[in-house]
This record gives sequence, C-alpha cells and structure tokens, in this order.
Amino acid sequence: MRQKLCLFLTLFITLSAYAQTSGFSGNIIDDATGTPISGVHVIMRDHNVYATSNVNGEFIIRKDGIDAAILDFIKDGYEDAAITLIANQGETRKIGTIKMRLDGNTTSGDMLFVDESQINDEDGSNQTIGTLGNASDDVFLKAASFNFSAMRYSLRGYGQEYSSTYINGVNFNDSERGRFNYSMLGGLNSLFKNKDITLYSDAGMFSYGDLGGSTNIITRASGFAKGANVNIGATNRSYVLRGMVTAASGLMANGWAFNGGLIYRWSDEGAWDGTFYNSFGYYLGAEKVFNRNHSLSLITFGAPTERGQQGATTQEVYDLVGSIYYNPYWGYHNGKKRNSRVVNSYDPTVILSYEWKIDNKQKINVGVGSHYNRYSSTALTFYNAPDPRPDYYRNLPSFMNIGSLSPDSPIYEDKLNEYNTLSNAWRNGDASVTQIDWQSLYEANYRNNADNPTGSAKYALEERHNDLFETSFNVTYSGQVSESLKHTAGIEAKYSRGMHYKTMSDLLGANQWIDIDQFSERDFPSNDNIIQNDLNNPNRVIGVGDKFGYNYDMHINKITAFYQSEWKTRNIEAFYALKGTYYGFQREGKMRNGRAEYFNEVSYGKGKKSEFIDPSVKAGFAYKPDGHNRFYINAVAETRAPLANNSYISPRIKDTQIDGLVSEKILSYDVNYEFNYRRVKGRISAFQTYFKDGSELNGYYDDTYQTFINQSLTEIDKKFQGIEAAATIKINGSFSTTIAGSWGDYRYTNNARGVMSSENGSLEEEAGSLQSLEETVYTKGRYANSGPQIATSISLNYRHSKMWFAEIKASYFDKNYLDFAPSRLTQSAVNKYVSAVNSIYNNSTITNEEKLSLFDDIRSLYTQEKLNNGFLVDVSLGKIIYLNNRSQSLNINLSCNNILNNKKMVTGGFQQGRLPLSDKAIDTNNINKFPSKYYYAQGFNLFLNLGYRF
Amino acid sequence: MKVLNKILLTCISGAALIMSSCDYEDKFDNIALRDIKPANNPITCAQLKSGYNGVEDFLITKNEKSEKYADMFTIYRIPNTLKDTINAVVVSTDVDGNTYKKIVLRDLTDGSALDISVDASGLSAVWPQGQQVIIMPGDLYIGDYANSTTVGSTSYNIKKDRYEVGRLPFKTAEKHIVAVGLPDKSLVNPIDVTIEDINKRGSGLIGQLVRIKNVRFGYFVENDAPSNFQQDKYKLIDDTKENIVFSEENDLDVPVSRAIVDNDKNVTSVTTSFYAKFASELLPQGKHDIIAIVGWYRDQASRAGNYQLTVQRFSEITAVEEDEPTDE
Repeated sequence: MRQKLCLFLTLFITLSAYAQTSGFSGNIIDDATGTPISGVHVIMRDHNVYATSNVNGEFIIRKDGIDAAILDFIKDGYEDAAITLIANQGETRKIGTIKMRLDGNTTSGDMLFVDESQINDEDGSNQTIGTLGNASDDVFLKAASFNFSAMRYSLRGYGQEYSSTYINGVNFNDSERGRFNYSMLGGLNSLFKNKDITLYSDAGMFSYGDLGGSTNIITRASGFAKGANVNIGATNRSYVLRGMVTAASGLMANGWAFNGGLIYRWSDEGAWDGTFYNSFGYYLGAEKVFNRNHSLSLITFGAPTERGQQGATTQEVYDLVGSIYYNPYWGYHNGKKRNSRVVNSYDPTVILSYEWKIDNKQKINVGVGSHYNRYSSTALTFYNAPDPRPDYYRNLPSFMNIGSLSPDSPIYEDKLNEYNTLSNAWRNGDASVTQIDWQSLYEANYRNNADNPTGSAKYALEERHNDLFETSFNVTYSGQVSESLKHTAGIEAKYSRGMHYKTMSDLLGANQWIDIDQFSERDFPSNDNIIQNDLNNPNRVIGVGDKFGYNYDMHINKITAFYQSEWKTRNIEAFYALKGTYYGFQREGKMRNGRAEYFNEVSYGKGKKSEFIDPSVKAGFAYKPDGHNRFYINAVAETRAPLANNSYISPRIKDTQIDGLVSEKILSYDVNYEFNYRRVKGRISAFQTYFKDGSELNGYYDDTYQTFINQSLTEIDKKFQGIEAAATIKINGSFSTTIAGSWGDYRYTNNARGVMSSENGSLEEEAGSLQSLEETVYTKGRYANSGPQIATSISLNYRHSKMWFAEIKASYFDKNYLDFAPSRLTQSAVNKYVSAVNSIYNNSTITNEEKLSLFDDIRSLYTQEKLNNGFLVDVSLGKIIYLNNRSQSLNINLSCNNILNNKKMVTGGFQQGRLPLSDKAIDTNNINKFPSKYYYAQGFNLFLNLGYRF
Repeated sequence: MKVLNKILLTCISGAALIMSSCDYEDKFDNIALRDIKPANNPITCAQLKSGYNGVEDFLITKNEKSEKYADMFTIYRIPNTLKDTINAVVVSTDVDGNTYKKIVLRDLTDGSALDISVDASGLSAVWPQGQQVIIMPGDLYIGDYANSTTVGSTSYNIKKDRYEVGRLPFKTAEKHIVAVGLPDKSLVNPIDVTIEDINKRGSGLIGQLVRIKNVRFGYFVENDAPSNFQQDKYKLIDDTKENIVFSEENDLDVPVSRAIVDNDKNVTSVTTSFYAKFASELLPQGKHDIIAIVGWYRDQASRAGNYQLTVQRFSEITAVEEDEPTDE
C-alpha cells in the first residue's frame, strides 16, 4: 500500500551505519512548461523509503544496501512516472531531470457533488456535506470521487462521522456530530488539494486513522510554487459564476513563504427555482522555515456564504409542475423571488503548525487549530394561522382523495372539477398556489396588529442557529527506529462548544412575537407555565434579533492518544496500533422550559455529564511477492462513544439523555489485492463491518400533535459488507481507460429500541410516563441511508501531445434506498397496521380486488422504498495553451455532466414520519396521505473554466 | 515582493467586497397592504341562499336514498357563471378554538348571515373578527349541513355514508374570500335578543352574533348524544352546585351542549368543543350575559333539532350582579 506523503520540505532519510548507503537524487519538472514540481512523492518501491520534492523540484532518496531500485513519482494532477535504476554503492547517484506530464483528469471546478440545499436542514446537518474531489492516487478512490459523487455515494456505506479529516495535522471533525465541514474550505480547492490519505483501517502516517479512512490536508505556504493563478468559471449548477485567484511567493531566500487566495461564487438563481448563492472565500498563509529542522506555519481561511435552499417534496408535486427543479421554499415578494430558507454560514479558521525534524529519522508535528463555525438557516413559523407551506398536504389535489369516490357518485363530476381546477393551478404555475404567498403572510400580520396589537405575530421568519466553537491541539511523533521498524504516536485534544438557539429574523410586518409554545397552549389551555419556553422570562416580547424558543450549549471534551508500530521488509509488512479516547459531554440549558418542568425534568443550567473511555486496536499484514503485487488484510476492533448530538431525547427543551447510553462496538476487516504494472494498476477489496449498540436521533413535525417529535433509537446493530474494485489501463500513449465498481449490502441487523418525545409535551401527557414511550422499532433488515450500494463506472481518457484532453465516462447506480421513518416501524404502528388489515378483511362492502389493493397500500406504509437505478454519462474537454515561452499558460476546460439529461435519479429524501390516521387508527380511505419526499439529481449541467497561470 | 503585493492587494480587495455585501433579508421591505375596494352592486347572503340553496336547477344531491339524512344534508351547485359578489364582515373567531374550520359572516347590506367551511385551522389569522371581505361565490357549493345552510365544497362522509357540504381547500377559499382593508370591530356589534327570539322558528337569527342577558347555566339530563338532548330536561348549576365543565372528551368526538335558561324559563343550549380553550372551565353559577353565534343542528329528520349557541371566547360570558331581594 502506497502511502502518500506530502511534506513541504525535502525529507532526507539516512539509513543505518551498518550498511553502505546508496541513493539517488534529481529534480522533477513539468514536461510541458519546464517548471519545477514540488510535493512529488518519490517512492523507492519495495524498500519502504519515501521522499518528497522541494519547491525547486529537487529530491534525494537513500537506503542501505541496495543494488537497484524502481522509483515511482506520484503527484495529484500528473500522470505517474516510474524509472528503474542501478545504484552506485556508497554514493548518491544523480539521475538528472525527471519530467512529469499533466493528467487530463484535472478537475474543472468544484466537485460539489450535490447542492447543499438538497438536504433537509432541521438540524443544520447539511453544513457538513462534502466534496470528494481531488482524491488520492488510489484508483478506486479517484473513480468514486469523480464519478460517483453526484449520487451522494458513501465509501463502504459509512457515515461521515466514521472518517477523520485533518488540516496540517490538526483534527477538524466536529465533536458534536462527528463530521467535517467541507464548506469551510470555501471552494478554494487548489489550496487544499494536497493530501495524505490513509485508506480505511490501514496504518496511519499522521494519525491513528479511522474506519472510513483519514485525510490530512496539507496546506503550507512553502508548498506552493511561486506564481499566481486566475480562474473564471461559468456553470448552471447551484451557482453560475465563479472567480478565483491564488498567488504564492514560494519559499524565499529569507526562509519566508506567503500565499493567499480569494474566491467568489454567485448566482441570482441556481438550477433549482428560487435558490441563490453568494459566497466569498479567502485564504492567507505564512510560513517561516528557520532551518532544515524547524518550520512554523500559520494559515487562516474562511468563506462567508449566504444561499437559498431547495426543499424536498412529494412526487405528486413534481409531476404537477412537471419539473424536478420545483422548490417549495420561495414565493414572490413585491415581484421578486424570496426564499424562506436562507443559510448563512461562516467558519473562520486559524491553524498554527510547527514541524521539528529532530534528526533524519524522527519528527514531531505540533498543531493548534481553532474555528468558530456560525451556521444558521431561516424558516417560516406561524402561530394560530393556516400552514403557509405551498406543498402542505391539505393544499394538494390529492387531499381531495378523488380515487375514493365512485364515478356513479352524485358528486363525482363536481369533485373532479374541483380537483382539476386545483391541479391546473399547479400545472399553470399559479404562484399564489404553488409558492409561498408572502403578500398574505404580511397582510395577516397587519390584521393581527389592528385586531390584537399586543398579541403574537401570525407569521414570522425565524433563524435557527447551530454554531460551534472548537479549539484543537495535536502532536504527532514519528520515528524510524531501524530500517524496518517505525513508531508513530500522538495525542489529540479538543474542546468544543456547540451553541443552539433561534432568533427572530423578520417579523413580516408584525408588532412582536410572544415567546410561548403555541402547541402546548392548545393542549394545556389553562396552564400558563407549561406553555412557556423560558419560565425565567414568561411571555417575553420578541423583536428582530432576539433569541427565543430554545437556547442551549453543548460542552464537549475529547482526548485521544495513540501508538503504532510498523514493520516493513522486502516481502512482508505488518503493523499494529492502539488508541484510547476520552469523550465527555454536558448540556447547558439557557432557558427554563415549561414542558420540562411540568414533567419534572431538568432544562436550565448544566445538566448531567456523560463520560466515556473507548479503546481501539487495529492490525494489518501484507505480503508483496514482487514489486507489482501486494496482498494485505487489515482489521480493527473498537468502541465509540455516542455522539452528543445523538444522546438526548429532546435537547432543545430538556437535559434528558437516552436511557442506558453505551458506546457503540465496531469490528471490521478487509482483504485486499493491489497491483501496479506499467500499463495497468488497480485494487480489489472485500470487507465486512459489524456495528453494535449504535444510536441515532430522528425528528419530524407531526400535524396531529402539532409539534416536533424526536425519536431516538438505541441498541442499533448493523452489518456493512461489500466489494470494491477498480483498474486503470493505459491502452497506448494517448488513451487510457478506468473501470471501477462497488457492490455493498448495508443493513440494520436487529430491532432497535426507540423513545419518542414531543416538544409540546402532548405525547408524554398522553402516555403518562416516559417509560411508556419506549417501544421496539422493527428496523431489522432495513437498508442504511448511505446512497447507492451499487455503483459502477467506465471512463475513456484521451490525451494529445498538443495538450488536448478529453474524457467520456458512464456510471450506473443501483440499490439505493430511501431513508425510512422509524416512527412507522414501532410496535404501536404495527398494531395499527394489523388492525387495519383485519378491518379491511372483515369489510363485506368491498370486493376482494379492492381488499388486495388496500393491503398493498398498507404494506407501502412500512416498506422501505427502493429508488430508481440508472445511468449518468459525462464528457469533458480541455486544452492548455502555453504563452511567453511557457512561462504562462491558459487552461480551458469544459465538463458536461449528465449529458443524457437523466432526470429520474433520486439522490435522497425521506419517508414522512406521520401515519395517515383517523380516530387513532389507519385511515384506510386515504392511506397515501403522507407520501415520501424526494431530492433529484440535476439533469444536464456543465462547467466551463478558464484559468490563467502566470 | 511583486507577488507578495499581488497577494496582499487581492486579499484586501476581497475583504472590502466581503464587508460591503449586504444580507439577503435586507433587500426585502415590508409588503404594502393591498388596496381592495368593496364590491359595487353586490348581492346579499340572503339572496345567495334563496337563489341557489333548495333550487332544483342546481341540485346535486339531497341524500334521497338515506332515510336518516335525506333533506338534512344537501348540496347545490353555485354555477361558475355567477359573477356577483357579496360584501360582508366576519363575525366569528377561532382564536379560542370553539369555532373550527369555518367563518361566519354578516352581510353588510342587509345583515343576513352566511357560514363558509374552510379546511384550515387558524382562519382568524386571515379573516379575523371584524374583517370586511368580498365573497365570490361562483363555482362554490351551498347546501344544508344538519339542516343549516353553509357554503363549501362537495364531500362524501364515509363514516356516516352521506353526502354533505364539505370544507373548501384553503387555497380555493383564498381565491373566493378576499379581505378588504384592516379589521374593524365596530362592524361586529352583537344583536340583543332573548332565548324566546331564538327559539322562534324562522327567526332569521341563525348565523348571527347575539347577546343574551341574564341567563343561568345548567346541563341536560336526557340525551342520546352530547348534542342531541331533550331541551326541557335540564338541571341548573345554581341548584345542584355541581362541578360540570363546558365540554369533555366523548366517544363520538362531538361538541357537548349545556343548557342556558332565562328568567322566563326559556331554554336553549351552548355547545362547546372539547378542543376549545375553555372546555375544562366549570359552568359558572349565577346570572350571566353571553355573546355567541346562533346555530341550528338537526342531523336526522327523525329528530327535532336544536338551536346551539357557540360562545367564541370565555371572556364573552360575563357575570351579572344579582338583584337584591326586596321586602314584599
């Protein structure tokens, strides 16, 4: 397994004094421009020796007792090169200049694989949607990044919380949700594209690693060649224009290096109706190289972004409007489109990292990083008023349930006429029906001001904040103890503070909002205390900018220590690693919630502190019969603490944690074969991962109880298994092809334990006790929400000596399942299905065919939906034009995605949590009242990029 | 140095751009209230009812095949060719939850009343009490619901196996009921009546906002349904001193009727939904004035039917000082 090392200074490795040291030195340049290439990994194949070229493209690589060696030259964006050499004993042989050619797969722009706004953002989870762009040299990983990302493919089905991401050696997975916020990089991909990647459970270089792999983004000023780049892009995706400029001083004679970058992405309206995009990104880096042993780097970056989101909706709505780009979140406001779900995000980050090469064999990296992620999303709220959502189920033609009427019925024609009238309003794009009617919202508030001047607004725009402040410290030691033995050890420490609250963004013409829970007010009309969101400030009058509703912090401390030993000989490699993690969290409520008090639960102040200590051990073994083939197996066994985000029943209003919180247990192993020949290279892997005692938190809005329902699941067991394979074949000097594919089976293997909680207290009041809200959830056999579990692609690449590049690729996706609603799988839900089936069976007024049809409808309530399979075809074309004796260049790249305009590919969505009930039983007259909601992949889309390097 | 200058200049420019950008929300000023004028030459609620409800040309169904519901639940079509409009004011409010998914209107020309059923809660946010509206009834439906005229949609009640005027989809209702200006409570003065006035058939008080003075509360003792009761069989709270609430949950999920009795022993009922905010309030002792909307409910031909008063706010039940007993 080749490990990508991306260091910023030349790594000189001196070997044991017991044998004569031989080596090679040279310099690496761009074949076309002649400019030096820094950061090239130079690997002495089969000898466990690595080096990296410096800013001048120079490298030196040495080892004791070699007669000959194959040197591999690898750098992202360039074709791999290899050379076989004979060593001069006791000397460092100068091999001259190595030329590397550009890889035509250079990305044309952001690999933002899915519009961030496609994700339902009840809890701000969409801020962590990431890009898989610019992957490592692993053939499968590269193919998955470039070809599979449009369908939200997950490597081995793992959630993001099972992968670790570092920047300059500092871990940036947020401790609350366990994920890395890719949007913090702001789209400045060229400044963050140098990476060290540890695949899955392999031995780590900079950290212990993670189940889904770990990535260290290396971005230090000295690692960038002197010069500047200007890029302009045009596209028809979530934004339409992109401008980017980067510049670097290179490492100067005084030991300083500086670099910087700026990016702007914009659209007045993106591909989806009513969306917009406005994002700046900046980056500044400075580094001081004191000498060969010490260097200090400081970087800061951020990307203040404002964008309008798109929402999932039902298939009925998509069919009525005839477009997958329908968006229920916008409406006309004085003739202009106004989006109600606006995300504001800004995650300014600063990282200070210090590197100390103790000697030629030992190194220490120390890093401190801090970031303050401010993330918010607006949303309409309403009080004692009609639901303002245009796609609210009662506003749709389907609610008329015309299918339940017999054509012989005296009202059939008239009902059909009503149905058609409303349907035509949707089809004809009557914005007063199909979109938010801002006019009516303002007017309702004006009327309320006149009718009830001191009362609460009828409609308002709230802003839900999920902020996060984190400070991390990392130190890693690596030491090559002997020719074949290496130790790595490290400590990570992080303090996180999540801040969750909402503020009033716009009163929409109203005088004020009163801070009470309206749904509790309906259910407990004579109880003034239970309806209060903050008993310390009852009936508080809320104006724009005021906090209201809920307000709590989550304090998290995490400390990790690890140790790893690796042995490498000519034919055998082995390693083992150990890790211990402390994870502790505590909620701090800032409001004294009336519902929590009513049920004698804590809401205000610091709550119960939970602490976990989790071990992890992993090991691997590899056999390399020759320099071209490698067989290896890795395994990991560990426990993981439940994330703070998943540990509370209803964190917005109370401190109550899920009963019996335990760490998740994980056992995973994979078997791999890797091959690397001059014309073909690739990998085949098979894996199995077992999860036990996991926990999840789901939520949905329930109209019946008119409140937000939280449903926690614990004692979750899952089994993920699959095969992944990829190969790149060089057909000749111009053509190459890459084939990649994965097959997975990612499922829940047991029935979980569930607890439901309502934020207005009605569920608890009805049940009488919290314990009676616990029940079995029949999750066994359900598929994980992990994207397509079958993904394959084939691409054909062409490269002309005149610097033309072209590629065509076809991808196929299958076995993609919609996220299921646990509330439809509870024991009480099952009881309702059984009652409904019995009722239908015993109904003598309907025919057997009608009964069978109804049975199918009931089955659909709890069956997990399989989404469409299908093909996506992409093409790209690029050209590099050299100017001024190749000192400058112009790069033109056009990529066209989904050229078949396949608009049937669902990328995600969810099954609605509500059941169609009437008198607390399944409403067999209208079973399909709450169908699933979907997001679709964009049809044809393109990106044209012009880049100028000087 | 040159490159460094470029870097610095670039980033400073960028920072300036960032700082000068404004929030999305700042671009949206308040929307002005639409300037909508009342209709010229309107028809009245009474004319609408007499023109279409019960008129055979527009009949859709009278539930003729149902022995129980025939003529109690009827649906007539108001043709889409009708372009006339009605000027009315909203007298109902659903803020306290006793009026639910309907608005009750009083005609501004002749004071006649009209009910419209709409499938949304919180209707008072859109059409609050005192709100003047224009109604465009063409292409809607009218008929008797439990023998009381209402405007709405067509509907089949599968549980009861009957056709009835159902609730209009909210988006449809918005197109047929347009608010004019801001609400004016002075347009909604209750009519002072007696129970005797209400009990007179054909009194024309159905759908009206009324005030009845000096009544006492009680409960009915013979009823086969919470809203089907022997009107003359009741007990007064003042006599029994019992704690009886305005409404309670029941298997039929229907509102509960309680008795109100005046000095002349005239009786009628106040009907309260279990979902009303004051449902669990105790029936008060002593004399009270009440403001309520008059309703009529007769769901089966075999039943006599009852007048039902809907109190909209608990604050509209006001205690009256008892007269001092005088020496005779």
